[in-house]
Amino acid sequence: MKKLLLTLLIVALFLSNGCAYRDMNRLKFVTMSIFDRNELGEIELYHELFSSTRGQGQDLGVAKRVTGYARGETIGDAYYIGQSNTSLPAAYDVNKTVVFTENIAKHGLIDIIGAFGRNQKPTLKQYLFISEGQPTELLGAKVQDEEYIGIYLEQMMIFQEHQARVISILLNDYLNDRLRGSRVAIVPTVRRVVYKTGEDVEISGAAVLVNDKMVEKLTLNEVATYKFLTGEIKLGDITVDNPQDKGKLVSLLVLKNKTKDDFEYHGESLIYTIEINTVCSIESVQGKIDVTDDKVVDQIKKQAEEDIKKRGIELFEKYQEQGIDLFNVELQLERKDPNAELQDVLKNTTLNLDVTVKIDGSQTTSNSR
Amino acid sequence: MENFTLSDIKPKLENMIDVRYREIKFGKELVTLVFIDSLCDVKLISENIIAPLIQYDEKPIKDINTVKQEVLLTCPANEVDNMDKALNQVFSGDILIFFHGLDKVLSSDVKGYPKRAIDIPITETVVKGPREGINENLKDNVSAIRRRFKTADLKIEEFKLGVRSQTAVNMIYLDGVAPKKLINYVRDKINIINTSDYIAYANDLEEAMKAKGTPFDTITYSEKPDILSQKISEGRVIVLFDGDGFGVIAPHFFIENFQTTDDYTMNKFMSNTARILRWLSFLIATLVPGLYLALVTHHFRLIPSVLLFKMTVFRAGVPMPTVVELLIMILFFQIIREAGVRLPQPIGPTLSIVGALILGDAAVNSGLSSQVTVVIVGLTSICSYLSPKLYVAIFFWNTTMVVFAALLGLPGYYMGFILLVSHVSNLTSCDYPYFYPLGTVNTFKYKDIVTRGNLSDISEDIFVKDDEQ
Repeated sequence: MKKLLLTLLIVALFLSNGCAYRDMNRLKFVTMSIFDRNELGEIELYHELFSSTRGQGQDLGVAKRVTGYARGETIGDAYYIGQSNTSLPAAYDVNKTVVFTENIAKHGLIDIIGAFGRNQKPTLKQYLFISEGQPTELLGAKVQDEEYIGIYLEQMMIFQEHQARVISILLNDYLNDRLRGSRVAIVPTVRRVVYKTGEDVEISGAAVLVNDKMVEKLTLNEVATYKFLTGEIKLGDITVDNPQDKGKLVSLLVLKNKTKDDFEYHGESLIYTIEINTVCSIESVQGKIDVTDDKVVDQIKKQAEEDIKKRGIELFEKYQEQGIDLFNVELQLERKDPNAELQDVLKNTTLNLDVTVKIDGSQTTSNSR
Repeated sequence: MENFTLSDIKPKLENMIDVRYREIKFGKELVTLVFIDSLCDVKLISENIIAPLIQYDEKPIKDINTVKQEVLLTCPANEVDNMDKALNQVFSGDILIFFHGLDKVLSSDVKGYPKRAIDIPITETVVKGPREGINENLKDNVSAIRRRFKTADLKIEEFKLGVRSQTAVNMIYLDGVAPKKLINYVRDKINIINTSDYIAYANDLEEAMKAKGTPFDTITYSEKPDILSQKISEGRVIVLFDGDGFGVIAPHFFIENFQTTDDYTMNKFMSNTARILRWLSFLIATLVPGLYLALVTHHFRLIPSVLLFKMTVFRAGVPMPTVVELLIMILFFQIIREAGVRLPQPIGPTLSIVGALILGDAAVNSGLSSQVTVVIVGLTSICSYLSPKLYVAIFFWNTTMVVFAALLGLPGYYMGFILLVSHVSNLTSCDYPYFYPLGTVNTFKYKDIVTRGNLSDISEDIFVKDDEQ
């Protein structure tokens, strides 16, 4: 028993090349890292860190938010220079927020994204963002309900992802998206804003990246449409005209949404059908309306269906014209019919949206959200 | 034929102030009684031996059988023809009666010495069920078991251990139920106990039968006759030592560490809940300190950020590495536990207060430890109290796993866990796997494993023919 124990210990020590032991109070934990590119082509790394220091008096420890900056020719350079600028090592183990500036995203992430895939220390479950404006603006934002912007953004992705206008992507998914199908990835964009109540960091839409390069931007409404078409929407609203009061609006609350897609392959053309079944309830009404009148409800329903259809087709065609396969049609076709021999799939695809909206009488929600 | 006389035995009993010689006239003959008054019931001697002998002077005594049949009122009354045997009987509390005219010596059982009353066992308390405990008197203990079996199958074999102490040892089993190989195994172990210069106790046998090099007890004990009887009925062998208030139970299996008398006397659902808690507590006590250390020193990403940051702030003022801090706190708890066990009862509560202050508050405020470590070590200690017989094993293995986790993080922790499982799987109790019936390929009848079923389903002997192979 003793021999076995000793042997195991020795083998373990040899295999591990020593003891990789780290004490949590002798580290600074990165909560957000922002990557930018300067005019010299250097990678600039900004990070937000959680640091704990010895307290005074009765306080045993004090938490402190610190920020750091480093730059280098490569991401590795920037990282090691950044490490040499702090008293305690910066640990990326728990970092959940990686932000690329619009500047570096437009230039292309190909030179830096590989490092994320290869480095085993940080988790692959990091949320990716593209920031508008200067990195210092985001880093210096004073958000009222959270001191750490990184944690704020992470929590926003976890708890608000079901919102129609919020889209999220994990590093893991991005690393897949960038290599498969038409190599399109959609990354949420964030920006610092100042309202009457104070500063805030908000989602401003989403960036469309093709081959690791930002090529286009989705507005918040386009994000909602995209989520409608891909069946990711859980909570949202549709606004239509009030059929009984001209100039006034009726807002519908989405209770349920199911999406089913299919392909019809006709030699040189492809019909991409998306069947959307949405259950809504009337949420708010401007002016007067008789909701007990079936004809009125039917009019609202038709308007909603047309609205979704119009928005969907517009979005699809907008990107089709630019040659961006936003819905990964090529990949989906390949999965469903690997033997399909269609040249220039996206160009020869026609989107057929079959939208059915059902209006329920009450706002009974399907879950606690 | 008498092989020894009173004059032979007297030198052997020199310098013993409690040895009594009483001479009385029996008819025309002189009779001498020899006994040790600290071991004998003097009233019994007076009323049942001396009085009948003095009063019996009517007829001439022809032979010793007449004395046995017509005079003595004690039981038994046997002739003794060997001096060593006679001395042994005197030291065991019997009386020797020398009939000088008949050249005969009789011995009779007149034992009578102070003994502890049948009491509620303090180490095996129950909410519901028999509360009777055994004491240090072998005869009382055997009687407590014998009362529960009205059958000729209950066999009680006697052994004498120790050249000088000649401690009486009784091996009890149910013939036809206990496997023969088990009976032979225990009998052999009793016979090889060498206690020539020491007094034999149950722990001598326990040590002879226990698996070596392990903190797990592969032989157990009980001071409750209902438990001992239950184990006998399951086919196990019980060994009782004169002068020891515990009965040795062989074999003992790992899963029995989580069973208590209340499991069978209380509501089944309540019993199972309590038993699951015991299993859970064992796992917490053994595995949590190592897991905690692996996570807080190697795998931060597995801890939710908010909790990690909170823990970091708690640790900010602690100068020592986490492993040292953890081992110090485990050591503190062990010291306090040991002190609590050894201290006289009135001082116990004072110690608890001092211990709680030191560990709960002062250690944190002084910067020796962080709050989370105190919680982990405190939880570990409390959980280990739910399976008291596993206490040493838990302490040994959780410390081992802490060292493994400190070296390698989770891979080391898993290695420690595999080592623990393989160690326990490798143990045997009386040649039966200690994990029995878990992980054994033999057919088994033992149905009372993690949770207990209906009493009617689990109440039977646990060994089957396969076990005999």
